[in-house]
Amino acid sequence: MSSRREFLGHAARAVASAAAIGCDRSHRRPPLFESTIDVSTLTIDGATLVTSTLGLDGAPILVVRDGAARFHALSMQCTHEGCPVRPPVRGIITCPCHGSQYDLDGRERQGPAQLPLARYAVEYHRWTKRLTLRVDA
Amino acid sequence: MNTGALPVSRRTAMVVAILAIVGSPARAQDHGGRSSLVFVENTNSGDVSIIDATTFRVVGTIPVGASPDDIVAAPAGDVLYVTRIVHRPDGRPTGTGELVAIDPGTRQVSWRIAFRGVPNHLAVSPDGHRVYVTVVSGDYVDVFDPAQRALIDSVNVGTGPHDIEVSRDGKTVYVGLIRGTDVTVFDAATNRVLRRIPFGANVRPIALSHDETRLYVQLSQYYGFVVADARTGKILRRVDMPMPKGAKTPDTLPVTTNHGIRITADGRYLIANGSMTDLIGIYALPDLRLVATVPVGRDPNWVTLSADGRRAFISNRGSDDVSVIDLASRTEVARVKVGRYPQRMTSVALPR
Repeated sequence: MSSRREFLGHAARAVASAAAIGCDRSHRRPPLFESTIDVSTLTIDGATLVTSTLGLDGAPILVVRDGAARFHALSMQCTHEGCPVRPPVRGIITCPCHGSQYDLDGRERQGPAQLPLARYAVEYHRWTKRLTLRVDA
Repeated sequence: MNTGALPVSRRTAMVVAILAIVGSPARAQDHGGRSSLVFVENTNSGDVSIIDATTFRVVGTIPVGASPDDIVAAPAGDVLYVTRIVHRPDGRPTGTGELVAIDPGTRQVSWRIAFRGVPNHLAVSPDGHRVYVTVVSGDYVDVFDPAQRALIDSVNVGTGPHDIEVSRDGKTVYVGLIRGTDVTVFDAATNRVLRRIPFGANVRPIALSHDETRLYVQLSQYYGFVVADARTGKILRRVDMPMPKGAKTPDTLPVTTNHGIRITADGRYLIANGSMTDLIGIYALPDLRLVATVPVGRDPNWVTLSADGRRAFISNRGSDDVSVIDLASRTEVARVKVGRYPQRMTSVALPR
């Protein structure tokens, strides 16, 4: 009997947990932006690609591999006047229009830009070599 | 350093009148029954200052919204066109722009057109029927019909179109590429590209000679300007700008080394800003002999001429003021405080 009671107790907790998870999910707002891309071509550190699909701000996204499973994803739109930035050279991203510079985290290191590049949260799927880019609500 | 025939010292520049913004409108003096005004676009205060070109006083301010980028009067002087880079509340560009039309008589915004892409400079055809806007985030020039208040065409000119000028006969449009290294020339009747003139570096402001034979071009990270044959595209000369006395050219130049170049109304002189060195060079045409260097405010960005052609106005975006240069004496005769980060300007003679 005790085993039956334990089973029922476990079952009840499992249902409660599932309900709680379901409840959480139902209340979580969908991300403002989410896209999963193939990054299998980024085989070495420092390799970059520019997405063909546009990001949340209407600009392509610059993706930089910075380690075995470490990636940066940044808007290519310079925060000064909106010119597309160039892919990084030795870790520095430069805007060709007025010379603003950013690091791989998108932080501005030289003006005239006063704001960092917009960043995307990334999630790397090691087995499929795909990267999910996301902006949460 | 060749300072030319009539150099003006820093000390002289410091004693010129510094005119504060005045609230009460001062009436422009009569020039053939017209008032000569200069409209100054202030990028960071989102407005346009109106300078009386005779008294050198600010006589009004027109709010236009954040980040205006260029302002050009229609040849008839009845409309001012402003390009505006639209930003989000967090300060980042939206990747969109606006063309804003202003009635200079009423000093009110008449209409606005929103469009995709980040605009930079603009030009108006001599007949006033077309407004050309460069879209620096893209590779095209948008063509607007102001009568319809509509975008009617886009001309693919190459990566990052920036400054733009229409020939005096209205037949040809010249576009400098800030993310490219060419000036692209297109036919205004067909909107088809005629030729590309390579300059080897990112192209900044351009000036076309009145007879359309010469193109004077400022480049990123070059302290000077380049002269090309506007028809053949052949590079004829590189003209280094003079450094201030005692200063040496730095090893690394800022991207925006020089910004602002214009030919006087009589076609006799070229005025080029040394943005890095806070001076202007005045060159006699056609031999490009330096006749004067004149210290101005900080980071001079644009050159415009008074309607009578006697004075040049230089916007100093680093010191939020405008230098007034008398072209006969080649001296700074006034410095006028305007809005924040003044960049481009245009000159209008209005009926009184």
